[in-house]
Amino acid sequence: MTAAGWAQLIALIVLIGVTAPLLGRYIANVYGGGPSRLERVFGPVERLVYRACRVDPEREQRWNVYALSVLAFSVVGFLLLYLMQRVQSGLPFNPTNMANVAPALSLNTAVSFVTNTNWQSYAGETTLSHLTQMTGLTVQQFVSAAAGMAVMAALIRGLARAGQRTVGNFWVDLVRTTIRILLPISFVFAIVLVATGVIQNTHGFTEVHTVSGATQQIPGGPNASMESIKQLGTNGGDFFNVNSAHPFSNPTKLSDFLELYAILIIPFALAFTFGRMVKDKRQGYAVFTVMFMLWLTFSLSAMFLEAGGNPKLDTRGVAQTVSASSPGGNAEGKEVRFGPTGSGLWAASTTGTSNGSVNSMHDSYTPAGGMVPLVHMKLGEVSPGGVGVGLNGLLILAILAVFIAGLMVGRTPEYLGKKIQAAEVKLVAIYILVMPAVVLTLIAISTFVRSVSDISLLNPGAHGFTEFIYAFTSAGNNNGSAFAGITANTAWMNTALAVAMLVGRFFLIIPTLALAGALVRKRRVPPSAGTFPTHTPLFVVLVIGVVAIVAALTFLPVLALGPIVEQLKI
Amino acid sequence: MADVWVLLLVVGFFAVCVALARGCDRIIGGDDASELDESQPPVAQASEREPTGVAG
Repeated sequence: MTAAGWAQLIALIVLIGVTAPLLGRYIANVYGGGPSRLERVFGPVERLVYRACRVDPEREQRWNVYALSVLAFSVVGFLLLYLMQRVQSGLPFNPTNMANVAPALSLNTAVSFVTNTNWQSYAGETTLSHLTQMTGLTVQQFVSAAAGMAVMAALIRGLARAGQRTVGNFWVDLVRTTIRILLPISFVFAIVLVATGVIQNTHGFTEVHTVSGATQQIPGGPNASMESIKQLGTNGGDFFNVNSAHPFSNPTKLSDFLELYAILIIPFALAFTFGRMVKDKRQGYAVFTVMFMLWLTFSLSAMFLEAGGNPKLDTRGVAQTVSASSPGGNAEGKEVRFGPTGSGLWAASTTGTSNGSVNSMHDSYTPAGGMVPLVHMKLGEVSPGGVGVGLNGLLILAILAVFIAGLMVGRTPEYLGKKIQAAEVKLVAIYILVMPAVVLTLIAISTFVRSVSDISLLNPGAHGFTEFIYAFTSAGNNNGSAFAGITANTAWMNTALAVAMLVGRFFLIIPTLALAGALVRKRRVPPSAGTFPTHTPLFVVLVIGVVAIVAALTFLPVLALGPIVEQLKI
Repeated sequence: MADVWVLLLVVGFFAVCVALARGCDRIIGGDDASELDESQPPVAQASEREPTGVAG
């Protein structure tokens, strides 16, 4: 790995290490409802929204009402976004004269953005109008991220409170997350992105003549405003088809570094939010350490594997290492301005979160290098995970870890003073089984669908199967990154991937909120000599082990048919 | 016609979600009065009439 690669990684770690605790403290204050110096700015806006929506901010909800609120909000969001795509040709702000989007693609795209997945079966610049991108997709990028963070706040309250029935008010959490966290940070970050060269205009296509005399259509559009929330909300859906590999979305090494930071900062900060909300910062440090160790392991793996390149090419005399005569090194599928290490770091980070944006094409990675983002998603995206949902996943795995530890020593497991009993373990089991069940079932069914083999799969053998596994893993984990290499815009793939995204989102949110509801009622038991401490290095190792074992037991067979056999064939 | 199928698919899915929520409610069971602290903020109850918890 090059010195530049190490410098980028270390600078990113230092920046996150310095700023994540500060942001985590701010977010904890937002959900805690404590006094804030920004009350004068945000308070009146929030009260206006509450009045307009007839929400009583003082009225809290039980978990099931909270869950129904999430579902109702998502249904309305889906219907509006679906309708907007279906009639966009008749709506204003369509300088590129985009036609109405077909039903199956509209379904896929609406589900994709409502579930915070941002899988793109469409090419943004040639499919959607500026109005759809701005008021349809970008709005969902804010509110779907806010909904995920609201669910996280409810789960933390379930752990922090004792002997109560309520876990907060979804509408209040949604509004506060959007107005106090996502909007202000995104606004500032969009301006920073514009300064680095990301475009923000209202143009359609501009025709230019190249030096060779050909004509070329240069796309325009309100991109920076979408780019900022795309990264900060771990959404990942870009204005352009090639996502953050496009020079108008990610023009320089500096913009690349800043966008990478934006992907990671809120998910890592939420670990510190957790520690503050449960009034035990050590718990936050433990969660942060689990997230960080997993992320660092996968990042270094992807960086080293892609810097090394394909050994088969070495035998043919192709230079893949960075040198004076080959400054790009292993540039297969990568932008020269980011290089193999910058691409590998992004690939690991975008799949450890539920972001899914790409600055290189994962399909062109070495089999082992391409397996890194694939496996990273299969861990359940907990390192550090998407905004809100990543922390939820890790807390649920932490509860599973204390349950396993309790079985080992023969004591009733406890987490933060709450006894983990049959009901909680059943909900944890539902949460953990849903994602692999939907992903593996849809992969199995799709292998028998004629349009998949005739149209969607462009590569034969293990590589084609890896592309296929990747697509459903990405959808089922609400990641949205594409391995590339398959044609996803078919009726079957659009529908099957939409089902995977819906199940991967809402079938996890419901047991998460039920868990919050079960925990919030429990009284705290005082720690005893038999209590397993959940802030120690031993617990960190145990949780990492649980994450790895759950993923390995579930997905090793299917990986053996794809990237593993492909690597062994080199 | 395709629009109708899409709407049916999505509405059907969210109906299954509501059923899952009820199933999870059954798993965690009713409130144990001995566990609960009576000094709590006002609560929005789940009901058929007010499924979203919006006050007013």
